[in-house]
Amino acid sequence: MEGQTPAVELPNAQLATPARSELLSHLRERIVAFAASRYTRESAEDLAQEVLVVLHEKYGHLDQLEDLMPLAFQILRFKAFALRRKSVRHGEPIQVSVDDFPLAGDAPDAEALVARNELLARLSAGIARMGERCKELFRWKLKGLSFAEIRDRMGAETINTVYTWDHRCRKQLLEGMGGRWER
Amino acid sequence: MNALRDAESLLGGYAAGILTADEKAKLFAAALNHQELFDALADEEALRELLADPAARRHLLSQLEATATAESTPFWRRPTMMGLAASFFALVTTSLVLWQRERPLPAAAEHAPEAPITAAKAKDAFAKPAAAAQLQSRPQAKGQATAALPPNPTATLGAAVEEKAEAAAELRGDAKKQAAPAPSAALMEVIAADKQDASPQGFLAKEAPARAHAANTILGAATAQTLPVPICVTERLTSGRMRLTITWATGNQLYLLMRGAMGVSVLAPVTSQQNEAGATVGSFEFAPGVEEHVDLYLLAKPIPDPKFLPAEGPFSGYRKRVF
Repeated sequence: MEGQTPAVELPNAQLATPARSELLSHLRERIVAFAASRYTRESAEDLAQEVLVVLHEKYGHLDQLEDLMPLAFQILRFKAFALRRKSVRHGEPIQVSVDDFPLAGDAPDAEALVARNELLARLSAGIARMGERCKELFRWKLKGLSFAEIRDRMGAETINTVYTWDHRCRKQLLEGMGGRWER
Repeated sequence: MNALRDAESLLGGYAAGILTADEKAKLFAAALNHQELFDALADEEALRELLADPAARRHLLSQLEATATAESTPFWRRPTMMGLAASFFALVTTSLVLWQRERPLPAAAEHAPEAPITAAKAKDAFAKPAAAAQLQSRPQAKGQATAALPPNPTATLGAAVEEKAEAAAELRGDAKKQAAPAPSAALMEVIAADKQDASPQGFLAKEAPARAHAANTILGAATAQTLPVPICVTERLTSGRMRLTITWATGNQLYLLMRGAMGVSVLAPVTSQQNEAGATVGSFEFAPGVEEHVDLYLLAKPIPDPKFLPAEGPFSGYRKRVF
């Protein structure tokens, strides 16, 4: 499969509605473009294909963008992890296909755990460097308040003001962490 | 483009999981149409996953809560500031206590001139004899000096002498017009104490030359309350003789006795005159011999035969061995 970009075939396919097919097609384009900016083109094609297979096989009942897109991101992340693991193991006598790894699982593997802890540490440091308003805004977000509720708490005139604050704060935090959440 | 910018503003809410259904729909629709936003959203997945973990969320929240608490506390009530203030207070208090302990006694400290009276202070020294009220305070001052004897007794004893010199300085001007009063009870007490080995002065006199000097200074100082201490300047002449130039309060009687193997003789002044302050300045010359000493006596009144003035022991006046 690697290096090849076959058309998406839907094994054991449920018949996708035209709207869903169009949605998945759009998603595939975006996923390929995103993955290509991080990995090789061939790997990007493979990743997109694997994401779509999972979406089709396990989540065939979902046809709304608000459901499919977050799922696509989540699956893409797992698949990207698997791809990295595979490349690390490249050359070892026993190779394990990424397909052998289950997608879902509550217990993260060691690599994911390390990455998570590293991200948490970097995030803590980044938050500490943020301005007071950003800290307060982030605090309300962590408490689960919506933007509308945050507007009331922080005394902003409109919700767009809170959006702007959050956008700037996120940008500031992201720049403080080197431009990306993960290394 | 406006829609894209609006959607970008929602990115932060996506990771925190606080977007409403409308906001999500708006964001995802924009992401599907704009690769840049899609990429950003895909990158945001890592943060979303982290923030979805309750433990990580609690960690970050506690960090932010701690910061908020620290900022809501006035800076002067923060532990760091309180600690610094307490340290500063302790430092100042300790310094004050140490300073007070090393400080001389208040009575002595108020009068700080040099114990040995210098020629520059000669005029001041020959002032009116000390007032009786000041003499009455003498035993108390002496008691204080003895009771609080510091590790360096010379310093405190010297301070007591300085007190007398200061008292004399206050009374300058009309010394020559007043006769020296009789030795006070305080003087007699000091002299008697000199005989007692158990007294601090007697003990000190036996301890070491420095302490003995200090004790003798006390004796002279006590007398100085009644009879201002004469100033004696010793110089060796080219002929080998010694010259003593002594300045004392006019009205008192000064004798110089030379004691040696040949007996006791009274030295007569070579010159004697009054200076501008009204004190008498006398010059005495003698040829120093082996084991010869010169004792200076200052009395309130002349006596018939000064040769019999005692070299030691109780004595009503000022006495000092000047050579």
